[in-house]
Amino acid sequence: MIVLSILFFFSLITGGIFVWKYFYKSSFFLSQIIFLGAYSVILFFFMLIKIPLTRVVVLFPIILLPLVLYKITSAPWKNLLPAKKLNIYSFILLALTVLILFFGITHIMKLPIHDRDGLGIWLTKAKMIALDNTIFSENFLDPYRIHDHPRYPLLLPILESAYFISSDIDETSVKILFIYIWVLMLGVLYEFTNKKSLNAALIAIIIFSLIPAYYTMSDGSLDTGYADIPLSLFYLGAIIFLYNYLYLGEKKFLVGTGLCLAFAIFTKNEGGAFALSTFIIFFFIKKKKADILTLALSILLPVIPWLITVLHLPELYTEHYLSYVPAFFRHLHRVPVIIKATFLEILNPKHWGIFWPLSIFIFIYSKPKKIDSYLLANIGILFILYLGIFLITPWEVEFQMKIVLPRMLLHIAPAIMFLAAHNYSSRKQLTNHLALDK
Amino acid sequence: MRKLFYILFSVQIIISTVILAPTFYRSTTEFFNYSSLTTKQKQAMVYGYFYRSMMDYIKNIPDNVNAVIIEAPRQRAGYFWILNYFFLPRKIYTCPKHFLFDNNFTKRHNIKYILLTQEQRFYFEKYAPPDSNIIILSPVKYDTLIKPPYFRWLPPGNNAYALTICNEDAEVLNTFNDLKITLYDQWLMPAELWSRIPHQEKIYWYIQGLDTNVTSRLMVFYKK
Repeated sequence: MIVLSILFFFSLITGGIFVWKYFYKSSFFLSQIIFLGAYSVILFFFMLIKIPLTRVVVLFPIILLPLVLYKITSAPWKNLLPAKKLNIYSFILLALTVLILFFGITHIMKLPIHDRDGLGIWLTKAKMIALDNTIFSENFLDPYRIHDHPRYPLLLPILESAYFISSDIDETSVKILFIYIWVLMLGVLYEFTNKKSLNAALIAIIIFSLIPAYYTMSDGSLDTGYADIPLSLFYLGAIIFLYNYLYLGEKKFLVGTGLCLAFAIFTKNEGGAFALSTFIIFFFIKKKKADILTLALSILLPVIPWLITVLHLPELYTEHYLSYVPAFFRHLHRVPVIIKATFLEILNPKHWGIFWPLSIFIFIYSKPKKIDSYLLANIGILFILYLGIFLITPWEVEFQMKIVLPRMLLHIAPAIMFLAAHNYSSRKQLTNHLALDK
Repeated sequence: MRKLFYILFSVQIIISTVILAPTFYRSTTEFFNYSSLTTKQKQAMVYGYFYRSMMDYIKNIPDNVNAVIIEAPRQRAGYFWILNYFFLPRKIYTCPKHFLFDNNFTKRHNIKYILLTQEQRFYFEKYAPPDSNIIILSPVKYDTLIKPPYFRWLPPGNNAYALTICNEDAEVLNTFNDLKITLYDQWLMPAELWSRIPHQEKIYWYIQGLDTNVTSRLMVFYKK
């Protein structure tokens, strides 16, 4: 089983290298992120066209191996290597990074997935898919089965089930997927900050990987098996792609943004808010209509089959959350409560240390350039959309904010980290020289 | 200014390290301890993290049970989905249908009561062991009826039985407890009771032994 487990991750990495080699040559980790999402969407397509997910099917990326090995070149690795010579501080920071990674991995792998939603939503679905080889089975379609959130997006269950199908149903080793996602997140931060300085990249990784919320939060932290971490990954990918698109103007980065947003929608419903905030910013930027269309198509095309399929899955809730929107104006008196709770949360050292004040300080000090301002505004709009939820919720707002707000901050923290690291490292320069192909 | 940033970075790293040290210590200890536990100890440890009381009720379900029926409104988040995780590929059904969980849900449906009395609300659909099987003759499952149902079943022995019906709002009626009658192999639902059931209502029912521990499959019919 260990061999099959390794083969599964080997196939994922092979697919990522394929994307790297043929589409996004300059970013190894972003390519891996794109393939991770695409892999899940492709498996969903297979289920749609009635191809059962067997071991051979889920390991399909291995067929890309000849293309990956064809005319292999070492040129793209340059981004991963240190930009300058290592010094003593680099070694200390590297050792610290390795130590934190060790603790992070032991934290993730300490127990099988045992948290409520991790088991009840994502792992249960994954187990259903692994047992039935499809979602079109009694497990998913019988409304009287205990199967809550049957309409929840399926990216994570599909990834987990692919792991189960390729090796075996094991609730502990499946958490390697979360290590993989975590490494991708740290890797992409490293890859882009490293262009300025290895030490800055390592400091960014250390600060980010030591944010307590990623380990201590009861809902959504790394070890829970929740979909929040993959969601953060795709948002980070979307922001970096968008940065590169705004800086270089190449359409392939816009497509990358759209794909990351599509995968975010396929990971969790909050992905819709990501896409909405990006569109709002896009209208302000006034890019060409063709660009807006490209973005819209690259978001919608991968997820349209899912959005249609979801209408045919059982609906267990008679009232949709958005049906509370008319209560928006009635709940305006909650605004002070929401602001106070938000303020207290971003200053909560038990979750964040001084991460948020530090980031804000960096942004104020470095005076973000135009492109960074757009991206910050994008994140700001997303955050406002998030806070808007608390104005329509029928539940007790303080209680809900206590549970939900840290998770929302978790989604945007990697993107903020990227922008903060980027702004800090380019604070004295005339241009934001951090784009992919420069 | 650069120095100030370095100080702030260090402060962030130190605060985080101090906060995370106990978590990392606990995680690392658990990581190394967990692999050395027996399977039973591992299960107990994982079960311990959630709903211990629920697990106490369900952990003794015998292997030949292929489905579990929980007579309760659809759950508050989490409490019952987890059952599926443990019992797949066995089936877990809820009866009656779900309710929307909102602010008033716990008050309206007294969710605490429902959760605490699960012991009385579990019925096991079994692989029909020959000495305890109750074969239902009528009405057949999912039948749509226009007149009061005539319940008939083949009991495994000459024992007394009770029939329980419930609607989707969790209103339960038991022939023994509520109507004070004892049944043997049939029961015609009184017209007065039938008239109280709204049209197009979905009704769940099952037979239970009064002096033996046998239960029929959960059946369903609709009133046209």
